[in-house]
Amino acid sequence: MRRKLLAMVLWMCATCAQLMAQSQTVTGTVTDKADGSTLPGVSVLVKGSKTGTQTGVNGQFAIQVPAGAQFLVFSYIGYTAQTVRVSGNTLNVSLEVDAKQLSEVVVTGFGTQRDRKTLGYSATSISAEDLTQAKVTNVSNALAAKIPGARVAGSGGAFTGSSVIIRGFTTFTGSNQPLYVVDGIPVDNSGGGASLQSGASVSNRIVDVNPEDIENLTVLKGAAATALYGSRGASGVILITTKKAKAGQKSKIEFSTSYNAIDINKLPDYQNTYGQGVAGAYSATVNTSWGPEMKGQTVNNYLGQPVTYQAYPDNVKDLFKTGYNLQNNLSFSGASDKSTYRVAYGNGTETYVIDGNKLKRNNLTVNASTQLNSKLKVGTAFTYTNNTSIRTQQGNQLANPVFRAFFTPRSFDLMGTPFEDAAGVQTYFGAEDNPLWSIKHIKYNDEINRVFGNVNLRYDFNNWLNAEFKIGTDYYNTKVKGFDELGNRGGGNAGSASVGIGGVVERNSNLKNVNSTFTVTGNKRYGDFGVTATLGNEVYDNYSTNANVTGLGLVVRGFDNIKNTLTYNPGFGSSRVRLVGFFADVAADYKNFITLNVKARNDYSSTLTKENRSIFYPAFATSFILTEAFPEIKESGKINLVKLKANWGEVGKGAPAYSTDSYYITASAGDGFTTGITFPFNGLAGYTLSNTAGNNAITPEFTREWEVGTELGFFNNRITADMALYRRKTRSVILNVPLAASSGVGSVTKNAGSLSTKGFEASLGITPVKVKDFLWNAVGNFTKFKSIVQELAPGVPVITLGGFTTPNVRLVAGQEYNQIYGSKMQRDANGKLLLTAAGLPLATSGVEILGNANPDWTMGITNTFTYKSLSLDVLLDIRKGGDMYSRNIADVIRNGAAKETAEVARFNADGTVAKPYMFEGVYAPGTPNAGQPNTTMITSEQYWGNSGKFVAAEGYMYDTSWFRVREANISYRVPVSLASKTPFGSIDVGLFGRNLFMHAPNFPHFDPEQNVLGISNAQGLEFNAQPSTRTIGFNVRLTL
Amino acid sequence: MKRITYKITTLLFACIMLLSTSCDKYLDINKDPDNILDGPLPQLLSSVTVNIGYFAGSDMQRWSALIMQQYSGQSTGSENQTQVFDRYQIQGNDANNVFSTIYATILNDIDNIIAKSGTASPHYSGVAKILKAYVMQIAVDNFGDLPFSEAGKLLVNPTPKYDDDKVIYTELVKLLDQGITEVNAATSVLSPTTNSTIYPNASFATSKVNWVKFANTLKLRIYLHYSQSDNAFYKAQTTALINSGATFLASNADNFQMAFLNEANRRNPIDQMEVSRANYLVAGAKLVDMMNTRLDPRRATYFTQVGGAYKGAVTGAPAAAATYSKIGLYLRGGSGTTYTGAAPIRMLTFAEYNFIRAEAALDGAGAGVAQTFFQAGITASMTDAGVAAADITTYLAANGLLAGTTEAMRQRIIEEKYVASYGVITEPWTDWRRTGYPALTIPANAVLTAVPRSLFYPQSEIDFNGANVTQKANMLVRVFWDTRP
Repeated sequence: MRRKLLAMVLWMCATCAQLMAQSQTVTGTVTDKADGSTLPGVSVLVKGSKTGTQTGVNGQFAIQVPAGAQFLVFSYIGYTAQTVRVSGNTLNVSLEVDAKQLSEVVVTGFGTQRDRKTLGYSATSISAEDLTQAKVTNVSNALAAKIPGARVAGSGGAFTGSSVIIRGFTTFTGSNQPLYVVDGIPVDNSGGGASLQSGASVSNRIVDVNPEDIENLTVLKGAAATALYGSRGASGVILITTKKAKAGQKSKIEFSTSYNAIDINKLPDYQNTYGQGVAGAYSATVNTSWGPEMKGQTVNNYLGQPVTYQAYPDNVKDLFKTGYNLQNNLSFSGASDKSTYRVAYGNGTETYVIDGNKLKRNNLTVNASTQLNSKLKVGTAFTYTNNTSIRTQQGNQLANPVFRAFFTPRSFDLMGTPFEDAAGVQTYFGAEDNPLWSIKHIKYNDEINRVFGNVNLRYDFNNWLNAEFKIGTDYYNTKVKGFDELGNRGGGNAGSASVGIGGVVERNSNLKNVNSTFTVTGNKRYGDFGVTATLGNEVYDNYSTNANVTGLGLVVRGFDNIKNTLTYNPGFGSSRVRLVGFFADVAADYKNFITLNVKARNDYSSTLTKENRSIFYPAFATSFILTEAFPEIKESGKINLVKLKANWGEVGKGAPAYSTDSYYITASAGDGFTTGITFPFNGLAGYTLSNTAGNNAITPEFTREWEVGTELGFFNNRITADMALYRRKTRSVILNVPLAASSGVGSVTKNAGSLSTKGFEASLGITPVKVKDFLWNAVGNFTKFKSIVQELAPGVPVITLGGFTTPNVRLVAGQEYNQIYGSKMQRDANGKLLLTAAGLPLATSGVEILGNANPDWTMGITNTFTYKSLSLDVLLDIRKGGDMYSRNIADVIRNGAAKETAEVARFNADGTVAKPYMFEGVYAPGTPNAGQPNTTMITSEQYWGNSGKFVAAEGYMYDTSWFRVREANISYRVPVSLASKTPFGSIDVGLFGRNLFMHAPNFPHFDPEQNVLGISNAQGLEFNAQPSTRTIGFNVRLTL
Repeated sequence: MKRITYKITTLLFACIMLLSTSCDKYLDINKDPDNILDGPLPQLLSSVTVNIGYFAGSDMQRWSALIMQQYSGQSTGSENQTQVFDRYQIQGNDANNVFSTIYATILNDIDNIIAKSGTASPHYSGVAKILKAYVMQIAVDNFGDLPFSEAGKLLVNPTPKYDDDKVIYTELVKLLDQGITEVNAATSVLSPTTNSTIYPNASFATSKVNWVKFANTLKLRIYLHYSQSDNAFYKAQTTALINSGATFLASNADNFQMAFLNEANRRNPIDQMEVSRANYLVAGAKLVDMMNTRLDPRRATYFTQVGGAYKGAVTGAPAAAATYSKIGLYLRGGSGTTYTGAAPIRMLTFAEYNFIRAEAALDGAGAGVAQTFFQAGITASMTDAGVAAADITTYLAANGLLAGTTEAMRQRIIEEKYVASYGVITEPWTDWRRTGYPALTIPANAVLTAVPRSLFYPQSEIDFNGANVTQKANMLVRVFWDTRP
């Protein structure tokens, strides 16, 4: 290792050379034309020669100009280059920001920025405006439909985030979510994976970052792009740069506020003809709407009270309220020529369409930097976040308020019937918790206090060599309290052991992430050749603890304290992972049109044994800009940019903590149906050898990828395109391999299997109209990838990612990632349904493939219309394909609540139950007319019910293809002439919305953007999901 | 310039030297501080006994009781899994958890106890071997051929071969003999005390008497299972064992059972099932009708009443859970209508011992009179079920006489054993497979044309140990001792 680094150091040193002495010295300062701040690192070149230099930290330069030379060329990424005639020995130049170019500066590594044009790999940047146009609280939700190559999908419910899958799945059971890096320090984004059968939804923790603090967000996709970020970046990296003042910027106070209303975006279409009952007869205690026709008869409700048997068309709708999201942000920023600062405070309150949900966030962000002397710069950036929320229950459990509420019998007055007695004891006809009682009494709240940020030092040895040290932390504490009131019917927070007796859960967890990076960067030009080289070291230490206690059996009703319970079950766990990494990143170019970038990183991971802990991985990227090599191509203006890029890279990864040994763990007992036994039992501790065996032979997991792509610009860049084709393969995947239990152990962590992805991504920008005051700009992006599980461990055909016996989501060797399996309807050899003598279908006893959760492709289209100071942005989100098992759809249909179940009259004229339906198929073997075509007519209830269309999981499958107006925003900047009459420097106002329109042609009744397991690898199951929402609001931004 | 380069190089070297020397130490942290690398004997045994107690009241207990129609699967509407089981659809996937409990939890820890005890603590290894014999006996009676000689070798052999069930049975007797010898050892560094939740006692000198009695009684049970396949062997071994002066269960206090607690997460599995899966199980008509006919006083604690009567569901009947008697206090614990979950899970009772002896006496194996044992069995069961002495007397007067042919007498013995074994895992099903008593009616919606004779192997074994086991064609495949035509 040492030798490898030495070689790198020597190589870099060899690139050092002395400047040649020249005759005339010209000195000067380069500043930003807009605010007068000085610009360091500006390239200053004597035109027509190979002589050049760069400005120093305070924007000053000195250059030897040979006699006869007349012009100096000043260029700086993000600014329009200027050619200035030399006159005298002093030359002060101010450069103008190139609006087109600005977005083309890309942060690509630890603190390094590069010109997008020279990159040999894909990187997508999203500006602050694009990110915050719909004012979402969770930044992961703001990424939907904006990134070519990334599939972003929300998981439904209150305050949840989005799953972001960049260029396919890279691993089996580990996380496939990208690494989020804020100002060079990785921040934790755990959470967001919902529990199948208990608890409230949880937010993925990137929700602690205030989108209003973000200046720029860059997505690094391929292995060649992310290699420097080490193992955590194997699934892509999202780099967030926070807002900072620029040197020389005037002091500024900025205030912005936004308010939006939140509504349920789609409600099922209900029938309002038939009410509560079964088999055509009224029953007060069933969930189904298979009762008699509602004609205002008098019936007894489940409490024995006489009520009018009539439709309550809005009984479900009225359960949902209008929520809101209010955000306020205030910032102070400014700079002298040496120091900058920005102090910002933001607060936000968001509620949901179900009462009992509220999230509050307070962010305080401070950053500052100062140039201590000409060489040393010190900076810091810290954010403190306080995030509290209260939430109702979710998932496939009786305490979820919408567990059965979506199919509330059409004749049941949900809102008008009492849900509890005077003592607070709930009352409901069903076996589940009354939705209103659950909302009121099953409580969950959490509080997160979090600090993340860094201190950084930069030392400029001279104008081409600097060293930077950055140490940062991400620390947060989570306090969770769950309360299940006495008489609860669902497991709620404390699990099924609390049913009836109530329970309290207290959880306290901490996460501490310390990260340090040290880099030395040299940047130099030798005539036509330019070299940027970085050598670096990263050390991180990640430590998390989780202490919890579950109390069962409440004593005093309503007293939500752990002391108020009779049985305590404690839990404690911790995990520590450390990593030391060394890396090098060298980019060399020739005349800026051909670039070669070599990267290498060697990690040492604590999660592997000494022998296996070294993980080395390289990357190569190259780009060739045809239009720079042959500038004459550009002359006509029809072709502006033709760039080709290619890269190959690899990223290595360690194992989960503590998987190299087998441990004895606290014992427990249980089966699939009951809660089981928790130790200590009767004063006895119990230990058992863990059913998951450790393995000290685990070696690193590697993801390898190649990519070829092109970037094009035509007609003065009115048409631009960026395309990439890639192939990714992960080998030696580290996973928990299931074993035959008879071996004495259930699974072992080992390297097994491989996974590959082929993908294509593109973005196409068009400016159809560009006249004096009006601009129409359209940018579309397209994502298509397919991840195939090539092989699992020998002897392991299947790994189940989540779900039930049927349905479940699986990895199957040779098949696409995320296959949904479940029971099907039985068919004969000709594919005809096999039907019982009663004319009803049969379910297979085993499970078969029902579909795949992955869409064929996704597309986002942003249209921007600008007229003077008025602009309109509309983001369209299009998704083709992708299957989902929907419990909600099945529920509203099979229980007789949905419109289609009443499309044919359920009763004959004589009042008997009609039999208007018939399944096409043949009678099954064993029935009297086996093999004969079915002629048995059945009732609506049979046809649409559990023994008909929904007899097997197959009936629950729907295609999720959608078209939606994901975001829209109208913004208006008050003209300076008007603004100047106010105390404010600038005034912006806007209207915005999210999910304004949604059309899913093959997904009835609900919004398909759901996942019962939240942000996890298992996608494609929806169980009693809480509704998706639509928001509409306005915002104001004032600066002083 | 050169000076600077030199400085940087030196600095970098210093950093790298510093890092790489301390690097290994810095990274040597991959030991989980929250768990231990070695588990002590006492806590391993606590885990084993609690898991055995829970196991004996869980899935396999429910399946055998459903097959034997002591319970019936029910629901209030949409079909519950217990109703599927009632149709004899107990799939391979359903057995995955069972195998994990048997092999990866119970037997694995038992083998660890045996290995850790070595020769130093024979009292621990002896108890562990007796328990191992019990668990394997239940497992074989449910599945037939099973991994045994190669099982539990962890990663050394992740795909153990399946041994002939008949061979395993002979090994079980050897295990019991070893276990008896070892618990009788004069010295043992460590001995189980109250940390064993089965036969807990501060003094091992006291509890070892129980372990020996249980081991001998278990041998009687094992020999009895040969009654069809090798009747001579059954009789000879039973006779020899009884005549050897071996001690057997002598009262309900000797019952091989595990007590649970009236505390959340510590309740017995039958009660937990009733709480978290209400209406999944109700009393079976077969059992209830039999007891109704004889006005059995145990009904008061065995079942709940519906409309002042005891009513069991006919297996396969339509969903109407509320109209049937539920599982009562005897299995759930408590009093009146308040359940505590503190009832023990009974695994081998004094009552069963008496019925074994009754059948043996009928077959001329061992001393004694069938009638005496028969009545002792009923008395033991009724006493355990809280029946008053006077009511026992009344019942015995009406139903306590064995009469008629040997087969008629056997039928009565097994019928009473069937009632007494309410809540006992597997044994009623085993008795039916051996004797055909009590006669069962196959549910109208059954997927088989006969009563199942064994369980499907778990899907996990088919998936991950496919070289050694293939799935059975159906549940009619028989265990080796099941040769009744």
